[in-house]
Amino acid sequence: MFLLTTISVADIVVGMTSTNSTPPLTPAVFHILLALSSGERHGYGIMKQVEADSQGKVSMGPGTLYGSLKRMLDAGLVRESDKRVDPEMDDERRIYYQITGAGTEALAAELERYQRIVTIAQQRKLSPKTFSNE
Amino acid sequence: MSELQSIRRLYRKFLTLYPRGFQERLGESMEQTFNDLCNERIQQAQYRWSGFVLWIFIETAIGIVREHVLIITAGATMKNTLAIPRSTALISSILLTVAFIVAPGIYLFGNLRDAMGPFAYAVADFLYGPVWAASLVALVFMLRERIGERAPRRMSLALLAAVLAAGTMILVACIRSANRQYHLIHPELHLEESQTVLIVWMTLLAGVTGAGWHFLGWALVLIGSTGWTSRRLPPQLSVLYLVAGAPSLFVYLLPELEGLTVMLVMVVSIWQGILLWKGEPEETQAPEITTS
Repeated sequence: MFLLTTISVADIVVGMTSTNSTPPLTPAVFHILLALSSGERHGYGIMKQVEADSQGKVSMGPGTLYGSLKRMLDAGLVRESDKRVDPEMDDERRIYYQITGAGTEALAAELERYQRIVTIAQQRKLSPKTFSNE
Repeated sequence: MSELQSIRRLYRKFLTLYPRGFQERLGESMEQTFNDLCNERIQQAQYRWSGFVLWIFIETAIGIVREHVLIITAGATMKNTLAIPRSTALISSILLTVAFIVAPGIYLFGNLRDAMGPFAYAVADFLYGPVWAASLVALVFMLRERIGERAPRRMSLALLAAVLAAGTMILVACIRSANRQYHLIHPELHLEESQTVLIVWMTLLAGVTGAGWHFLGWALVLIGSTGWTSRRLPPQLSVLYLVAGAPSLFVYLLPELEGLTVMLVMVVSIWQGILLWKGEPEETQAPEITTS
């Protein structure tokens, strides 16, 4: 539950200044990009989507979410969309966030990285059950 | 409901602990999200608020600390968030110089000491302690804001060295003050006539002062090298930083270097103060962060 609160995204996002290839993303950034990949969302919407994507295993608080969003905004991974009312919620106007081209690229690179790791694990005949009896 | 409103008010107040820039940009959204989370709890009829509130506040507190740490470590890239008026630099450099001139004057010249009594010592300790320390840290901090983006680690180390030098000089002032108070409170002990007390006192004071100069030396050398390699400072000033820093590092070995170092640091301080006051080196925008 507290996993994401202890992880700083600063190093990863700032690290993007120095390398040409997209560096690995932190779990917080990865989950936010994944949540935004299916459409624009406001802060609370992102939280709920992250929870849904992780089947309730990842719960992100406002401190982690907005700290990550700030650095992602600075890094150009996401951008602020217009401020509007969420029809499913109250009548308050909210800022929506949307993924940018750079954000999509970073997410794609991360997914590719995960895919490679899974492939390596499969080649070595490793699965989650492999270590369950140890 | 009143409990919920109090929690919301408290959270709004809590968000003001974020750095100003962060708060202006995302504070409103954070408050809105917190309200959404509260509404969610109400709708789900989950009235066990203590755990939820504790989690949110701890999580937000971690975020607040993280943002402040990032500002400190990011240096010049966050200058808008911690903008300090330019006049502060000039005032700091003047105070630093005043502390260098007036405090030793009070310590050394009997007339002034006799005329003003123990109060003169208190003024000297205040100038050569907290005033000196605050001025030094403010100057180095402002300089780091301006030239730190080219060598953030070096300038962070310079700031750390300046903070250590400042802390050491405050310690010296505290030792002086404590010693004086003890002498005044116990005149019957005639401590000023004890050779042992004098030796211990001088050794302690000289040792801690030497440590302060040493840390100051590191700060000066690091600033000088950053100024030289980044070309953000006039080359002559960078060299002067290095020239002032080198003897400062060794005052603990050669106390006679202290006078020379004081002179050099005063020149550097005034020069730097004027440059910062005039807005030089030019303020730069935060570097673009690209992902390609």
